[in-house]
Amino acid sequence: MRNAHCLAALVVVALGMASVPFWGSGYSINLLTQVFLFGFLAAAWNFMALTGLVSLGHAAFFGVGGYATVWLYLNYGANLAFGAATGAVLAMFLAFVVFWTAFRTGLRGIYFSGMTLVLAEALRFAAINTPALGRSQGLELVSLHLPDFLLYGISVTLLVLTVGGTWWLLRSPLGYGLQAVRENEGAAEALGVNTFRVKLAATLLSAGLVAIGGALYAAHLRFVEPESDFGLQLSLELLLGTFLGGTGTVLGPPIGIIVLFALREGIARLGEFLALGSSEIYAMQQVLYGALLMLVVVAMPDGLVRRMHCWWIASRRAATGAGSAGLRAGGRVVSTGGSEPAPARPSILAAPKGSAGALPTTPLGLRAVNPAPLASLEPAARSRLGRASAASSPYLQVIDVSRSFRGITALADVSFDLQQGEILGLIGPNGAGKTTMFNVISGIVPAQSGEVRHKGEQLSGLAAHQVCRRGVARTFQIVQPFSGLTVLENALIGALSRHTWIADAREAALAALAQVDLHPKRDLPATSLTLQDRKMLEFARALATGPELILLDEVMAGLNQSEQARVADKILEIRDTGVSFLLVEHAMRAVMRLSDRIVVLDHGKVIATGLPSQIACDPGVISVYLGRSQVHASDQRETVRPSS
Amino acid sequence: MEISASVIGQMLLTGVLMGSIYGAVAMGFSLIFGVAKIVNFAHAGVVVWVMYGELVAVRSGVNPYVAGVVAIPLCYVIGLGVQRTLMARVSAMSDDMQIIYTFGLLLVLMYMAQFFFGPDVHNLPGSGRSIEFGGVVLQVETIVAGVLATGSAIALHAFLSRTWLGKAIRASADNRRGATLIGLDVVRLARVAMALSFALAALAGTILITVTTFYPLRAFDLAVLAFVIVVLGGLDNVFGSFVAGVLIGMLEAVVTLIFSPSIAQLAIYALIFAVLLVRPQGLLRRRVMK
Repeated sequence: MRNAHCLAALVVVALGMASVPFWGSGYSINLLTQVFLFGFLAAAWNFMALTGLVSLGHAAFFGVGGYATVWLYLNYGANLAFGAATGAVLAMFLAFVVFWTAFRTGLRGIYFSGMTLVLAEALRFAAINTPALGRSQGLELVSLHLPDFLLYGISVTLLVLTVGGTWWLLRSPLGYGLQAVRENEGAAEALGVNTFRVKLAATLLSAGLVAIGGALYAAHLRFVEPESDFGLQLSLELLLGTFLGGTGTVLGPPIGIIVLFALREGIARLGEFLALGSSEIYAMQQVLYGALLMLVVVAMPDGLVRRMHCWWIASRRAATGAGSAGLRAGGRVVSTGGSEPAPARPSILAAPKGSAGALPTTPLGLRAVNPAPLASLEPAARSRLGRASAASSPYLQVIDVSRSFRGITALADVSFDLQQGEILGLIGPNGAGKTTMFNVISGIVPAQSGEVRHKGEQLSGLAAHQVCRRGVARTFQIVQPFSGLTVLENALIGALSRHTWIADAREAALAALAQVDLHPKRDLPATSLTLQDRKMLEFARALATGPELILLDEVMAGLNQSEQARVADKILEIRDTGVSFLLVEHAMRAVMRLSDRIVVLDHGKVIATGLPSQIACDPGVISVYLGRSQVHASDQRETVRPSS
Repeated sequence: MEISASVIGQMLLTGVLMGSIYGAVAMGFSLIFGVAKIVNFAHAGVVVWVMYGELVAVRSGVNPYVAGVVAIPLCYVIGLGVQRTLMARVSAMSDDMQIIYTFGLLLVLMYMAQFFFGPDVHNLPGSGRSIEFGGVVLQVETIVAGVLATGSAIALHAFLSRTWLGKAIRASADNRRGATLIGLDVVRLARVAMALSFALAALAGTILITVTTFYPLRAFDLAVLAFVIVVLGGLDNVFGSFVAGVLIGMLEAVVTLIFSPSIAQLAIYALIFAVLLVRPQGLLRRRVMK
């Protein structure tokens, strides 16, 4: 419903914009053409910013578009539209070559931004040094004059299309991929998002559109020139407009540009009033731009749109009394129904014996939100696999894997295997190499020697997102939610790794959330969750990818005993649907209770493998790890271990 | 032009001297990046303001070097103040935000200069004296500038590697948390580093004004140049920046001799572009495994 309102408002605004040529003066049409053109350019810049990348060199693509159009017209009499299309293709090719390399080498931060800056500067000097491009004089579009209303119409159309395109993109699988990359690239990759391809797609789209804008601007000014086409001024203007309005929002970039142009006009009027020269007026405008850049970064890094949204919510909340609305970073509101914190759960620690599979009973109907039985997850894999089937061929084989970091050995010839439907515990003291093992299996860190086989196929050498798509999901020890997104969207990103359509993915995501009892909180921002819920969200995201094996990295750390018991129940429940688990855990009680077998690592070597009972009595293990709690651990083995 | 031994000698010496001046500009940028983890593109804006300050002083009859002697401690103090105020929150920002913030500051500084002094190109009347040896003619100002720049690089290197304060600054650059844990006041060290980088900007402005023309937007060229040099030398390697500056100066001189000054700019950008894509940790640095 809200979207319908947005759409209606957008249509009204579009109609208003379309009517300007019928009543506006030549000057105002000219100015508005520039405003809309730059609004379009900023929206195009924003496509790249959606992934969290900041480019200081979009002038490169702008200039390529402009120069290509004018040069083709002057030399071959080519149609301007053809010129613009050629410019866009050239710009995308340039962007592909440059950013393919940049993403492959992993440039980031200052190196990335600096590289984009240097790209535009290099092209500026290339234009200055090319006689065919008119050197520093540039090229003039002689004898061609497009009517003002046509340029105006094209600008408005492009702006509306790009803004609408952004709105649509943010709701598409690619859009969720972009947002996941922006929030946390590592986690996105682990959830099956091909981050490299997603970033490249956003960049190419952005470059191509900016080149079209450059062509249009050339047609508007009727000349191209190195300084104004490849100069930093343009890149900074797009950046400032987008940041001012709000990066990653739908309406932010054009709104930011409108504010900028309004301020610029205001200063021009003021300067004329004070009888200043044009150079001084220009300087004042640029000083204002600079000051705004600083101010936005310090005071309002989210941008105007999100800020106004907050004010709007606050005022609405003040008006309605109780707060019943949640804010999400996309600048949209989601009604959350009961957003009050979940009621405290009763401890089930008191009854650990035989409680596997039983749902904790909670008051206030929390059980009622557990409707989606495990059935909905992966029907094919549902055939219940008891422990008896554990003797079949290994599901995952780790064979002689070694990895060292700067001469420090993290893993030395580690071998173990995991059967389907098995819960394998991986334990060891701090620094034993457990997390490195996880990173090797999930493709985040390559092994230096040895291999990982998954159902007999090589897994080593694959990228993290490919590993995820083969059914091996993972969670992170330090929870890494996509904090700008809702709980549901977090799970959705995982589900998109195996679903093409948003609707299907949403269903899978909801099922995964239901499995870990996060269903009632699906519309809350991920940042509002407690640590326990964040851990469960990690779990749900992994589940949503439809895994056959889940690597759980200290999912219980930081939780109290009753919370741990609840997580343990979930793990057993999900295992019964045919999913295997590899657990890294320090909570001994839980590991001993859950694991079918345990592998013990110490200083990167496997020092013992066996049943929990054997491990607990192994003198080697006791000496490195369980020394002080020998009695305690064997005690647990007898009393806590559930029978299934 | 006929390329003789003396032309090549002239070219190489000019390149080295100009490069050492570029190095002096870049060292301040590098120092503040290394220590305070601030990507300070506004550094070049400070350099340009020093140049305009010098211009005012010289017009009222003060010797530029004397003005420099006043400017350096003055800028040191201003740097202390700036780190407390404008830059206080910057080191906690992400790289991208820092770049945007300091670019904003650069715009403010650059266009304030344009507002007050106009967009015209200025230069100081040279002394006209030059020294010749072996067919190579060099302006006195260029020699003095090169000597001052090289001297300051050596002094800074000695300061960073020999003195307690210098070592403390390097320690906090290397590992902020570790430095805090052994009792170093990293906030104060960042202030000292910012002040030192301002002093270096004053020195760079002083020697630049005696050898080149300048205009407000020169700040932007210098900012990109400093970035380029510092990437070449390895971002937080102060002495490496100086060496990289000399290399860039020589590249510029060689390409200018063979082609033209603007092709030299293109060559510099093409080089740095390639370096960024192939060896982002800098040419003068061993590859560090992550």
